Amino acid sequence: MLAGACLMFTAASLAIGLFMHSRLLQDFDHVLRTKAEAIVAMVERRGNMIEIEVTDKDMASLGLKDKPDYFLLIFQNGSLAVGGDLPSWGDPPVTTLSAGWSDFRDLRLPNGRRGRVFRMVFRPRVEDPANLEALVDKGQGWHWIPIPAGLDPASALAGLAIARGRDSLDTLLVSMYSMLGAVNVLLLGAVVVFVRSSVRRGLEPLRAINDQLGSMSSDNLDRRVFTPHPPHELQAIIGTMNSLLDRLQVGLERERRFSSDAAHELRTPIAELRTACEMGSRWPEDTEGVRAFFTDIEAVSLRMDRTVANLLELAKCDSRTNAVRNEHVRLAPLIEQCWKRCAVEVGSMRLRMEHRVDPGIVLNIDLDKLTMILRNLIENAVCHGTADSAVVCESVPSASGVALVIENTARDIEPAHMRHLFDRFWRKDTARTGDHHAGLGLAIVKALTDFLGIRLIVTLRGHDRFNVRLIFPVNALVASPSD
Amino acid sequence: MKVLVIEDSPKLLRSLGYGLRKLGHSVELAADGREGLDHARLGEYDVIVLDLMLPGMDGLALLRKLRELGKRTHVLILSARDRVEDRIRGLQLGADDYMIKPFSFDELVARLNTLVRRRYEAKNPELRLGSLVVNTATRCALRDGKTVEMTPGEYAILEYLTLNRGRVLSKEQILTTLHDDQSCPGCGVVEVMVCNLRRKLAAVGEESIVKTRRGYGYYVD
Repeated sequence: MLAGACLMFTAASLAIGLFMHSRLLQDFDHVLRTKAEAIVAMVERRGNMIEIEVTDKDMASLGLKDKPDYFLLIFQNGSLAVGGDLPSWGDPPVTTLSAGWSDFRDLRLPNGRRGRVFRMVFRPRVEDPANLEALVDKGQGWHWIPIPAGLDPASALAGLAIARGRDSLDTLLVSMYSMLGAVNVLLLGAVVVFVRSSVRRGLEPLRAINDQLGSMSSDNLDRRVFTPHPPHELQAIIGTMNSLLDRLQVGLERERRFSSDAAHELRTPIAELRTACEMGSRWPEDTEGVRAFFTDIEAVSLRMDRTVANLLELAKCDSRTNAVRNEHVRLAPLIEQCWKRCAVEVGSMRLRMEHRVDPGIVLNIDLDKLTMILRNLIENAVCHGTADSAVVCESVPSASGVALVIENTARDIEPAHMRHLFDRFWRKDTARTGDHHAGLGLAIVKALTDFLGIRLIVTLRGHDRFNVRLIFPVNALVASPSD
Repeated sequence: MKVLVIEDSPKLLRSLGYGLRKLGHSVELAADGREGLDHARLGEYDVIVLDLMLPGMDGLALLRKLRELGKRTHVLILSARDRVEDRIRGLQLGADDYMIKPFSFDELVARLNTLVRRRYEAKNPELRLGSLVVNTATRCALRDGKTVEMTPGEYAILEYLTLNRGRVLSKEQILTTLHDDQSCPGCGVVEVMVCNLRRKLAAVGEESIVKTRRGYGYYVD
């Protein structure tokens, strides 16, 4: 940008300089031409005599001691008429020129100064040659020059050259260019300073933002970008950046929570196994104790087996390496089967199922995966339900065919919990007490429904009705309730 | 050593209680944070083993509360949280040690012994009573390099008296530090055990180590 400004100012200065140069030169030339035309007006032909009505006094200006002008009048054949201070007519020879020709050119004057000459070729004005001798004898100081023999007086042409030193012009031009150059440099300097200052001021908020972002790390991700009175253009960027930081913070907190929960879920059973084994091997003579430890080891192993199986299932869903084996599945009996698996818990909580799934619904779907989905949902409903309540399973029509709703009365579920429901290893109980659930059930439901193309909607109706809706894809429905 | 274990995993709680009692320690167990805090406030323990993810009250909140109450009992945190930040936080809140699950039981016991020695300002695990050496690391007494046979309870009394060298300890104090919620003997048990201990020490020529201050209790010097 600075280079562009530099070029622009330089070009402007040059243009101004050249324009002024041209005008000054024009003025100078105009003065020369005017003087020459004045002299030409005073040159007359009377018969075969040329009369120059210029006295010596008029010619005095041509003889200024310090900066004299120079004058030369010659005939068409090149012979000198008046003047002679100029060394010669120069090129092109006057003999080749016709009346009306004129030019300006620079030259070196006899006194060594730079000068400028105006030359013109003209036919002198014709005057009545009568009383010529009387006029000559009058001696008014005018110049009388005979036309050289060999030239036709009627058509004789004369060449006039008048030259003047161009010192003052050159001095003026030098001053002008110097002034333009100085102004150019000053302007450029001012532009540089102004632009740098403006850019620095303009970039200050960006620098502040950069410093703030540079100081952020995973330990202080709760900070947000802030600058007092940011420019309008930066406000949108700051807003977007802070939104990004919000999402990053949420994501990082989820990852941290996942790491912590996963560590607990995997490490605690291993600690239980290890300690039980150490106790059993250290005091093998205590048969009752050893028996109790083996019982614990078995229970922990089974729990870890479930956790590992769930994690592997999730891994297969994540990597999309899960194979799909579709077959015709009757929905109602499958739900009944999943309910019966929870018989112990159902009995202890005195739960009942309101089974309103149409027995005619047949789906073309992967039986194993659908079973896993329904089992997890029904176990979830049973484990987190309130005693003496009902778990509702019903089929409802949907735009794509059929949907399954599982609803239960849930204990201690809050709206803030809803966004974590599908987080892996998330449990409502932050202490993660008990070994029935690792917090992977709903994560598996989400992964498998996504994989099978089933739309999953989970809502909290009122303050305690936990509602899960599974909307099956159109191509999964083989037989609908109306069939 | 009297230990309070606060851990919500029933299996781990059971295993730790079993192992520590087998080693002759007095152990009390708590399965949630509130119960653990109540025990810690009201009881006198040499060391507390504390899990962090507890129902009722989080382990770190319990620790903070304990320190606010001025309790200086040594605390060893036993947790599955292995991040450096978690360990730093626990230590900053007043824990004396931090172990990550899963863990070696022997290492846990060694660390607990270290904390108990620290409580009694005994840097050396070997405590000397004349020619008798009480080794708190291996939990045995030696005379001339030979182990003096005694029950874990008798050793526990000898160790307790040695750690409190010069102080007279009452029968009730000895009873509190040696027995837990699994057994509720009377002070008569202490007399019997001290008598048995004296007999075994006398057999190796150390009959006058455990002294009686009539009306007050027992001591070693």
